[in-house]
Amino acid sequence: MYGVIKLLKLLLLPFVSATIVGGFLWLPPALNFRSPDLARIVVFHVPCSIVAMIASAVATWHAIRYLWKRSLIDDIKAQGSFTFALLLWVLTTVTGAVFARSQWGAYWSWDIKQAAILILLMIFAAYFALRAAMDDERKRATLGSVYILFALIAVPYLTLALPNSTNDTLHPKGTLTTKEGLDPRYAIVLWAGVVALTAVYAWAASLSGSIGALEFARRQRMGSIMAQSSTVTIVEKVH
Amino acid sequence: MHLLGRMSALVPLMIVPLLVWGAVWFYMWNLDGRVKRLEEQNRLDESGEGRD
Repeated sequence: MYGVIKLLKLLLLPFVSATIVGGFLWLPPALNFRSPDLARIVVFHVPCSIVAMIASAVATWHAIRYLWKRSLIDDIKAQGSFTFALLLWVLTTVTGAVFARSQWGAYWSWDIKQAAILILLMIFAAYFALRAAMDDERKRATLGSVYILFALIAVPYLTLALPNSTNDTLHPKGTLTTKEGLDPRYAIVLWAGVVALTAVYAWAASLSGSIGALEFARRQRMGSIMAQSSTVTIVEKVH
Repeated sequence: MHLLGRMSALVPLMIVPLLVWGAVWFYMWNLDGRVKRLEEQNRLDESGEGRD
């Protein structure tokens, strides 16, 4: 099993590279856009937002597991996935702003999706402020997990429900859900990008979980050694 | 010729994400090896086999 995973990690290097090369060189320019060559950034922008949603959902799963089992390892994993989700939301915003500058003339136009993602970024960033404000490990984990559950409610509302509630938006509708939405070659590169980025996220999240678990085990060992040495000191003093 | 010209203009832009991805992949690959070794060491420490 470990050998297969290692092979998949090895294959990820050419797979993601091929997706990048495909995005730049294989795709035809999108002629109905103001800047046809730069329109291809959509095959990087959309996968970032889809994988950010996946990472948010995984963070929520670990948060629920923490509240259920009270294992700090779950909190470490929830925090890891939430961090990657925030990073991917930032990438979505940046690639979206580059697209907006080339097609709509300004990096930021207060389009409903732009305003919604700004609120989402603030909600995600507040999680880290909340954690930083607490010293107690258990309290931090419990409140952090509860906060993640509220943040998950915000994700589908701010990224799907709210932008689709109005036609007053610069963003095209039905790009992914209709046959006419995307050129077949754009669709291939875009979905390959989703698979590639999901795999990169899964690898990074697994690494972050492993490092967190090792750190946790080290802290526990140090704690038990210190408890033993203080017991020995007390016993020596008594005798 | 026009297509080749357009492609050559995009190549420098493409190099940047390729280099970033290459660096990220090598970093993760090396970190993966180190984590596996530490996990093995941790397992030995916990079972008492790794102690002097």
